[in-house]
Amino acid sequence: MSKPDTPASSGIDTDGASNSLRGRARDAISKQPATTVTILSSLLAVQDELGYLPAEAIDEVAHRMTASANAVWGIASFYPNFRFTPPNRHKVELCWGPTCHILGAQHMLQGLLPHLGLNNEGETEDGLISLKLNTCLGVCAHGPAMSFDEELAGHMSLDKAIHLVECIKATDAAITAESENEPAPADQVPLAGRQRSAEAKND
Amino acid sequence: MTEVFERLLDVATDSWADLKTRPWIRVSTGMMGTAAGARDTLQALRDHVGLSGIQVTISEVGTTGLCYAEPLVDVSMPGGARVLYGNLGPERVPEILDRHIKGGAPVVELALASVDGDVPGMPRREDLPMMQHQVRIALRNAGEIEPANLHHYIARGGFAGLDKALSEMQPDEVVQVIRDSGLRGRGGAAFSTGTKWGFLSGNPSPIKYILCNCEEGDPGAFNDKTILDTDPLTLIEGCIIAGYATGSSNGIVFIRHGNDSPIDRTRAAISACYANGILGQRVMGTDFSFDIEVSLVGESYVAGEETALMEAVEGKRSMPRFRPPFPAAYGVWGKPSNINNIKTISYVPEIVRRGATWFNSIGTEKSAGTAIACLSGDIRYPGLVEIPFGLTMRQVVEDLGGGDPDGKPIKFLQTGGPLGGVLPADQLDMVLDYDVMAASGAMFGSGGLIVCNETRSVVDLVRNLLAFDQMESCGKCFPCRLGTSHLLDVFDRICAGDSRDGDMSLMARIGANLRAGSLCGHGQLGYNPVDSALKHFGDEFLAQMGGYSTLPIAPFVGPLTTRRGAHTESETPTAAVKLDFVVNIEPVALKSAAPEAD
Ligand SMILES: Cc1cc2nc3c(=O)[nH]c(=O)nc-3n(C[C@H](O)[C@H](O)[C@H](O)COP(=O)(O)O)c2cc1C
Ligand code: SF4
Ligand code: FES
Ligand code: FES
Repeated sequence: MSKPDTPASSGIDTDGASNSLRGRARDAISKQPATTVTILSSLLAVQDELGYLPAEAIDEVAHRMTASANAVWGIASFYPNFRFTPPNRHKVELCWGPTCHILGAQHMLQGLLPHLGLNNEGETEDGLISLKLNTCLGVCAHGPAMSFDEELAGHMSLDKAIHLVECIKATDAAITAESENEPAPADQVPLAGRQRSAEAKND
Repeated sequence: MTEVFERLLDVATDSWADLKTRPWIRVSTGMMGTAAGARDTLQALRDHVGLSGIQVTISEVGTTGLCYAEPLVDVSMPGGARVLYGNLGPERVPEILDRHIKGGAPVVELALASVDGDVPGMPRREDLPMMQHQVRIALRNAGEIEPANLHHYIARGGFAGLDKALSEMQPDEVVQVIRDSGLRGRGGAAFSTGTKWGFLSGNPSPIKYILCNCEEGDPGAFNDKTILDTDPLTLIEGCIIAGYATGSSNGIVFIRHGNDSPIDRTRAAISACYANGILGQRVMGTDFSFDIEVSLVGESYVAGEETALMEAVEGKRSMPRFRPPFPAAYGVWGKPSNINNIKTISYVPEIVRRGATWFNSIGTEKSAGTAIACLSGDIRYPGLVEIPFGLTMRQVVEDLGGGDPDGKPIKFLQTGGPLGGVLPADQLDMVLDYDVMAASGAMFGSGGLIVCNETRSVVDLVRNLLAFDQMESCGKCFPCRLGTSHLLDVFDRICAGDSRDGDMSLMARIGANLRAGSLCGHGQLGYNPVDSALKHFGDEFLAQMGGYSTLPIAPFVGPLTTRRGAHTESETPTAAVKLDFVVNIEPVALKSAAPEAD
């Protein structure tokens, strides 16, 4: 399978258009709920919106915060939750914290890596999954813990992990097939937990 | 009593009473519940209730701390029993609805416990092993109320403390009450909270900040997130009281970005307070004004350090500042600031409401009140407990936690997070008390207790903690930046069966340099896990190094990310620095060689 379209290639990249990367970054910065807006808060808002920080976003934050792109980059590069290339469509996190460690996180990780064709955290070649190691997912009482598209899952095992990964792939394939009949912009495909929970909140 | 509070109390009391006129189902969602599958249970409940048309109230609440029983569903009937159903998957939902809600008879075989009354055939909640000895103060509302529901909170005694402070007490009196209560900081250093507030109240600046530290980067600890997830209003009330007591103008609740549910619930609680005259101009109609906002930070453990936190609030890299100046003189945005952990702040409303003597009578002489411990690992009942100081570790682990799930002997506890240490099983009779524990080299820290049975390798676990310390080093000072890398390298070799002569003394030298030369607690205390593991399990190290260990260590895959502006291995500056040599620097003998208690 080829890499899916990234948002970069789906929108018209004119500066003012609100669906360009820079335009979306601008909107995300303006819509922050915090009253105190900083470089960091803006970067977090943009990453939530775009899933990563393209150069356009660094520039936009620099412009809005009257800082240099270097200063913004210096802050962005410090926090490992920021990424600078588009993520794959689905985010899978695995906790390697001490509780999950003793309860078998390494066994899961080292079984999952070959299944995904990876050597460590990173992106699968089919463009579907970004695997990330997390220092502690905060649900140690239910360790070993993982999260799938931001939805926490406890009491994991290698079998369950592989099963859930396969579920994600199947759902994704179904949605892609549906949207091929009626093409939707590629950046609307992800069914990230963040969006799902936002929908849940609205009803 | 202020007029505003009187009115709110009336409404709250009515709405709480009204809840009791219908069946009420509380589902523990939030992070803990979600991880156990509570979202599916909740969905099933909503679907079935929708279809059957029964009149019930369904509330999403936070965890009660009985995490082992999640998904937990709490059903109360008007005038009838209140029953907790544990480990309730979606497939069991129809049965509960049919038999308990429609039929009026609790489903005894699925029930975990009854609450506020007896139901034949099931234990009372307070008789569950995990609820023994518990005294709930900071967690008093956990699982009881909708997290951001002002009426629920007020109906259970909320904002009475703030109202009392505003209408009956001078700011100095509030500080004195906190001082007399013996409350000590729960963020790690156990410093007297009243004394700390005193530093700030003396400062005449018109703009002063109360910072509430909910960063909680410690792997193995989940009590701070749980408070945000179950009862954010208690910390908001605590912050406002702290603001009044110290004459501050602004509060900042500092949370790590990433988990939506604690952040959303906290934001909702803050909005509810603004909408009801509890925050903003003229708090509860008095002359005191106070604002609170949430400040989010990226992934960084050191961001929890008080000066690094201030940098992060200002939107920068979370790197610690040099001290002095101290936060009470020069804090966030250069303004005087006070930093407290969220647990510390969450005790404040009840202390003000019920008085210093009440709080001081709980716990031990020097460690007043309760400790909130997070039990995880090899334990039958993992979860969250709030127990008075003075219990022994054995009571916590064996009585409340039920010991190892398969009855294997416990070998050690990992306490105090990645900067803490290990506590061997033969020291389980140690009393929970800041000073007793500190004297013996153990640390309670933020409350994470990771229980390990005899099949676990100490060396392996300590390597995990070191990998964390290395990755989280902010890189500002080189003893920590290089020391943690070097130490991890040595450990990797030892774990791979490739140890060398002199590794023991090499580790000790690196440790001494870390302790003496690092700017903040991260480096100063980073050697603690190794130190305590060597002290208690030296033989296991020798066995591992000598190649005759009976606890094989599996290869370890750690994260690629570090904090040095690089996100892949090839870009990582320190990955290139293969510390494959012995550094012969003698430990620096500094005057202040004693690590900061932080
Ligand atoms: C590396 C490091 C990380 C820390 N992380 C936290 C944290 O996550 N939460 C916290 O409350 N305190 C943390 N602290 C302690 C804080 O610096 C500070 O002492 C504490 O928030 C003060 O609150 P208290 O007086 O209520 O304990 C950390 C300290 C260090 C050195
Ligand atoms: S001790 Fe470590 S974490 Fe602390 S300032 Fe120095 S490099 Fe940063
Ligand atoms: S250690 Fe894995 S969730 Fe905390
Ligand atoms: S550590 Fe900064 S110049 Fe060497």
